[in-house]
Amino acid sequence: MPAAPAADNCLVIAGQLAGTCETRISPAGIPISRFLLEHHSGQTEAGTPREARCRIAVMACGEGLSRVVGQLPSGAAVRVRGFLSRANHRAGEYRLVLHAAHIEQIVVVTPESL
Amino acid sequence: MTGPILRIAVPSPLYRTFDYLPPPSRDLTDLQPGLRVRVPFGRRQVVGFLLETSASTTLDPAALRPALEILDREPLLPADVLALLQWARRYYHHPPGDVFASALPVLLRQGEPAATPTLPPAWRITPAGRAALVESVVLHRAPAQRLLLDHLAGCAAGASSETLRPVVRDSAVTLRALHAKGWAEQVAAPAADAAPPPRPGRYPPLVLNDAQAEAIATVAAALERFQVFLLEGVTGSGKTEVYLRLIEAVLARGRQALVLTPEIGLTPQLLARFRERLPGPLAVLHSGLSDRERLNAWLLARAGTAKVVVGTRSAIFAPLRAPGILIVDEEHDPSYKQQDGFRYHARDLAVIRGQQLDIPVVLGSATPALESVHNAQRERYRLLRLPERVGGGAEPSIDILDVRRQPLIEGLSRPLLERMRLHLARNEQVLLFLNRRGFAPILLCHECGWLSACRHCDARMTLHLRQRRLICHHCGDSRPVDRVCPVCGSVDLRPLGQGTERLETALRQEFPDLGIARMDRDSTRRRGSLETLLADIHNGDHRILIGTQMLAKGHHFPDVTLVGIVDADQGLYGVDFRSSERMAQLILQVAGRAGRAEKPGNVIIQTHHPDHPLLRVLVSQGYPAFATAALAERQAALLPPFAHQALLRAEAADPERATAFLTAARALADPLADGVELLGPAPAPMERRAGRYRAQLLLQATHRQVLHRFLDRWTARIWARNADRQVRWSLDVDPMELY
Repeated sequence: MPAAPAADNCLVIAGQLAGTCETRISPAGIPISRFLLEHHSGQTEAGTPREARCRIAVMACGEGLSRVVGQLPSGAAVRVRGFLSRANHRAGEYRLVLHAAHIEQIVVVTPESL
Repeated sequence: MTGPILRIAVPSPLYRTFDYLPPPSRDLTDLQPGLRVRVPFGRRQVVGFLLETSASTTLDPAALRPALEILDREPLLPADVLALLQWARRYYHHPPGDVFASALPVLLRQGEPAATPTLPPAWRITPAGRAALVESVVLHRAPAQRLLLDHLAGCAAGASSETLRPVVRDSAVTLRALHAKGWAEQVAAPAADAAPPPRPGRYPPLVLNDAQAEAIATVAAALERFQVFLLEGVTGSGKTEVYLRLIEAVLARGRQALVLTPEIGLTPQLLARFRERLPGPLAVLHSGLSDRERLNAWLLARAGTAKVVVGTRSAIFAPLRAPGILIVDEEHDPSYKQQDGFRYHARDLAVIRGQQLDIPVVLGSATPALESVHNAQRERYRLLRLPERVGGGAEPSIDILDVRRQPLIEGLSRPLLERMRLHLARNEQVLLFLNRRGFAPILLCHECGWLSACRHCDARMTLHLRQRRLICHHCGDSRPVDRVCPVCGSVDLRPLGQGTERLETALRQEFPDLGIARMDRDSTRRRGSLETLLADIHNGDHRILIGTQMLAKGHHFPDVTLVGIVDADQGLYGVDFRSSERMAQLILQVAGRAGRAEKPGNVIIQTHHPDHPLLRVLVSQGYPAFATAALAERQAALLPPFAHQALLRAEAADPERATAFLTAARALADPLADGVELLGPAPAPMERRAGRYRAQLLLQATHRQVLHRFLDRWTARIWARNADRQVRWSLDVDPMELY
């Protein structure tokens, strides 16, 4: 039995599509899209503002999500909600992948555009 | 006294005959072995086979039941076939009812009268059909009808429906359409004696080279007595022409010829050549026929109307009025060994039948079985070599391509792809051989490692992407491809490994502008689809041919100049001690498809084991040297043909029971087994198959007689022991596969 309820693995993260999005079709005919999300934000830690930067792989599976992802231009800004899981079953390797449940394109308000 | 006792082979799995009283009110003077008898058996009525009449019975005569009816006036099988079956039943230790039943066409087994055979009617074009061929616009929209009508226009004496099969995809439907329009009609076939002489056409008699002439002269000088000839001829060396000349010589003496071939469907060219060159009707016997067609062909052979009988494995039991020669083409082919029920080897039985009939037996192959090579080395068989290709064409060169540390694109290395481009640029054809059908042998979950295991077997289910199904190649079970991993729920399921379907997909991406043909059991399932595919290949519509061992047999592809063996490794290290022999035979058979006189062929073998000693010998010195080296290995390991084996197999739904049966069988064997080695019981290499657990006990002896003396006594004890009914068991004498 899983030790934690589904709600205890939920991540919302926004960022830009880095590189291209690859889509393949599983043998059962389910589209599987995969792209890298480049995240950059300002955060507060120990009472001090700081930057947060990361890159994470996003998997978007199924017709609906694949259609959304397929229409995104490269460099598009998106907000992804989903859960985290390990990328493969190799022992000792714990790279994470964000499995998307929802993806929306957003307008980024950067300091330069103000 | 009630008269003689009838000893009858009743189709049942019991290792014994059954005694009956003659049917009341039947004249008993002409009772002979070989008659069919309808008898009561339990609560059923079955058709049995009279083996002998006897004055006595070991049973209480009062308890015997009378037979119901004698079905034949004269024996259905000639004495020589009866003798062959009696021999086979003793040698293979198989229930007699089953042995005798397997020699008869289904309809005769069911009690159908053995009527005089009729030649199948012929089809002929009508005058209206000829007119339509010239002016009808309808035909432009019916290409199949036009093709068939055009073919019929060229057959002055008409054509039987059997010969029309390869012309169009569905000849029966097309013929009906032509018939409905009044463009084609059926006429009675000409009587056999009045049959037109064969006409020269696509396959004229060829000028013989010295080796062919010598082989023919040698056999022709021995047509009156038993002698086995091993005709070892490289592919393209004109073995078929040798067969044809020998058959002509036999026919000239008023005798018949029996020719065995591995699979009729794969040898349309051989049949076409036989039809064109040899007079009179040809009886063709194979499993693709309807029961009625099969019976008719069988009766034509029995009546002697058909002078030449061509058939697959079971045709070795075909009745002949005046047998003159037995020919086994591709004698190494595993399909000559029946793999279930009555497990006989048709090539071995051909040798016995030839001996009993005192006529010559010709075993032909480019890559003879090691057993046959061994017999030739011991001079039990006379070796006839055809070392050169007809027309002086060079044999294809064979290169080993080391693919270790090479990036592989769906199993294809860069160097192989580059060579393919080279040959394709010269407008030649390329053939890729991969003995694995389907898209991928395994479906794998990328996240948790789950594999697509079969529910019933210790095996993985093969992914067939076009059908979107997982299919077990061992038990036939199939199911839709899983949407998500049944263990972890991930959708990221991936195909692992390559099958022909995947190779085809990859090559379509690599060579988008070229026609690509795939030839395996999946792509040729529909009747006629193989013929269509072959025709398209010969027309040059396809430039790349991908196939399983189906491609290796019988066909000639004159424009193929490059053959790629995609994966030689599976054969080099198989579980079976015969796997390297099989691989060598397959490699050379596939290689033989490449190149013809003016275009030398080239073969590339991809392997991770470029230094495998037998592979090296095969490539650098050829098959005879390979056979010698492989035989030396067998001798050192005391394996067949230097030992003689039998395999007792058992299977049961419960894993313990099969082993328990074999342990008991072994206990029965131990006191008898002098000079016989017993190995096991051990689980079969694939223990669970189709939901049943399988185990086996291997018996091995250096002397055949010792093994058979032992088997006679041992099998009688096993039968007498009335073993566990939940266990299904069988004895395989001279097993070809150890699982």
